[in-house]
Amino acid sequence: MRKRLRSRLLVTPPTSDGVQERVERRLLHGVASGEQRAPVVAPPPRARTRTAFTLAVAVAGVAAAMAMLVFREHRTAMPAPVIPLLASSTIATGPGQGSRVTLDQVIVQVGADTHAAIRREADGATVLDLARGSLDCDVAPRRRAAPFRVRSGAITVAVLGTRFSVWRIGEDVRVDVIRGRVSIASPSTQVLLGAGETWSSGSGAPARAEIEVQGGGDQGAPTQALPTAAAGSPGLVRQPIPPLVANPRFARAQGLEPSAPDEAVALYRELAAGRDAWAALSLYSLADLESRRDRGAEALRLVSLYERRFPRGANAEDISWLRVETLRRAGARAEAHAAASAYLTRHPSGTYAPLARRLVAEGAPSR
Amino acid sequence: VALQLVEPGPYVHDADVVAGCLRGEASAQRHLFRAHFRHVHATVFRILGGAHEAEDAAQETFAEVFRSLGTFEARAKVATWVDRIAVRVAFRYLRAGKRSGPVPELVHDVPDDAPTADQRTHAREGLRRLYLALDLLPPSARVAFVLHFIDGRSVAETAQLTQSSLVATKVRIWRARRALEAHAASDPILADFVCEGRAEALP
Repeated sequence: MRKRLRSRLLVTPPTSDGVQERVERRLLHGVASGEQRAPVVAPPPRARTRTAFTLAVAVAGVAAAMAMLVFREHRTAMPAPVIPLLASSTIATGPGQGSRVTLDQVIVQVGADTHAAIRREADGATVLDLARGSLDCDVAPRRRAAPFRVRSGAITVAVLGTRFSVWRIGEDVRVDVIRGRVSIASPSTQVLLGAGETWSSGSGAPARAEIEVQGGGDQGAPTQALPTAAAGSPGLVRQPIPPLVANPRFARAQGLEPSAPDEAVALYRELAAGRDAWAALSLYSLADLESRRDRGAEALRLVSLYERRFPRGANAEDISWLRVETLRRAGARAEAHAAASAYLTRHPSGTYAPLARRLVAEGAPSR
Repeated sequence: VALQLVEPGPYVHDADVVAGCLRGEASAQRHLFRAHFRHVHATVFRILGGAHEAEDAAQETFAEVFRSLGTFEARAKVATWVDRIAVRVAFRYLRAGKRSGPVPELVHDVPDDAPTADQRTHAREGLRRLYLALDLLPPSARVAFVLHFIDGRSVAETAQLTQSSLVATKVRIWRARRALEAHAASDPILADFVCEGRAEALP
């Protein structure tokens, strides 16, 4: 028999002072810096004269033309709001989170589980120091602007005008060039990459390589003549760059979860076979789906696989907790308590820490 | 009890705040923002079901509020006007698909005083499934349903916020309700969360 819905469903939003302050800062700063239209809007004029109308049309035309120019410049930008940052800040995102910031005329899409410090160097350059995670930088042509660099360990990425991504997982660094050209220099190699090419240090590469990437200006022409790497050069992989913002196949798999879980599983499996961030996310989603379908053994196998393949993945914390949940669903309470303890050891202030503490406090069953 | 610092200002009435904003007074802008942010954030969160999207949508709402203050009619209440913009922005998000699907942030929705981890986890899963089911609804039905059943608005207020007729709003809510009840019939965890009976097992 079909049950009746409750008259009121309780969904308490996570509104907090922190959220309010963050939005207020973004909003009012945006207003002050002119990124959002200033809130001062004059009351609509009452006198509808032909002159006023003509003037309004002219102003609107100029504004539209300027807007088109701005959007042409940044049409690769994503719709999320842009947070202006000051030098000497820190960018940090948690697992599953992301952010978008502007810094010295550079739009930076910050990936999940990323930590980067911003500093100003003696030559006036703005430097993003990437400790872990990924940064997708869209750099407007610098012309006379101060240099912009991304550093990852001893690896330095100097930019004049291009769009590229730098990923750091452990000691491995990968650079994807989306627009313009970049040069990468290390003690062992020096390559020139064009748009659509990818370079990775590889697991065997020295941890402290020196990499310099220079943007190609307006038309992607390099500012310094550097030898172009041969296709077979170590570390140079000529392959299409995986999408950084959206993955329609992943979205499709997500959409299939409620109605056709078997198809979702198949799609997730295909995606998880890769080696990029989407593969990690797909593997996590697959484990989560199998756990929810009460396929505990398979879910646990996938959890172990994720931990082995992506030990510093964006969902590393979530997958640890998924192990606990899967064991609890399977009725393995002692193992679930042990997994909760292990989670707390690794993530003492993690998202699920209160739940884990409560679970551990309940103690292992006597039988 | 959470205390919130509200900046003192000469803004007693809505008209004062709006006039202050139109004059470009930063304190008036802050006052308007702080007076309505929590309410707006709660509404858009309930409609969209994700903390990230809610934050962006709330910001977009206020950007639109500030942009269109010049068209605000003094006889209306600012709160209603802001609500209407918030619903419009959230609706746009739904139609544009600016959502990352059901998200783990919903873990924060369950009160901390939930009796056990089991129930907490169960309720969280119920919430997740509720938003999975809502994802299958047309945006207009979803917005009407959420405003009425989750945000606690009357049908008349829902109709006013969605700028629809009373009859159309009732039909949308009814259809969404039937669809959700049908989902709950085959999903015990969702049923526990949204249907009458066995409510004592949930926080």
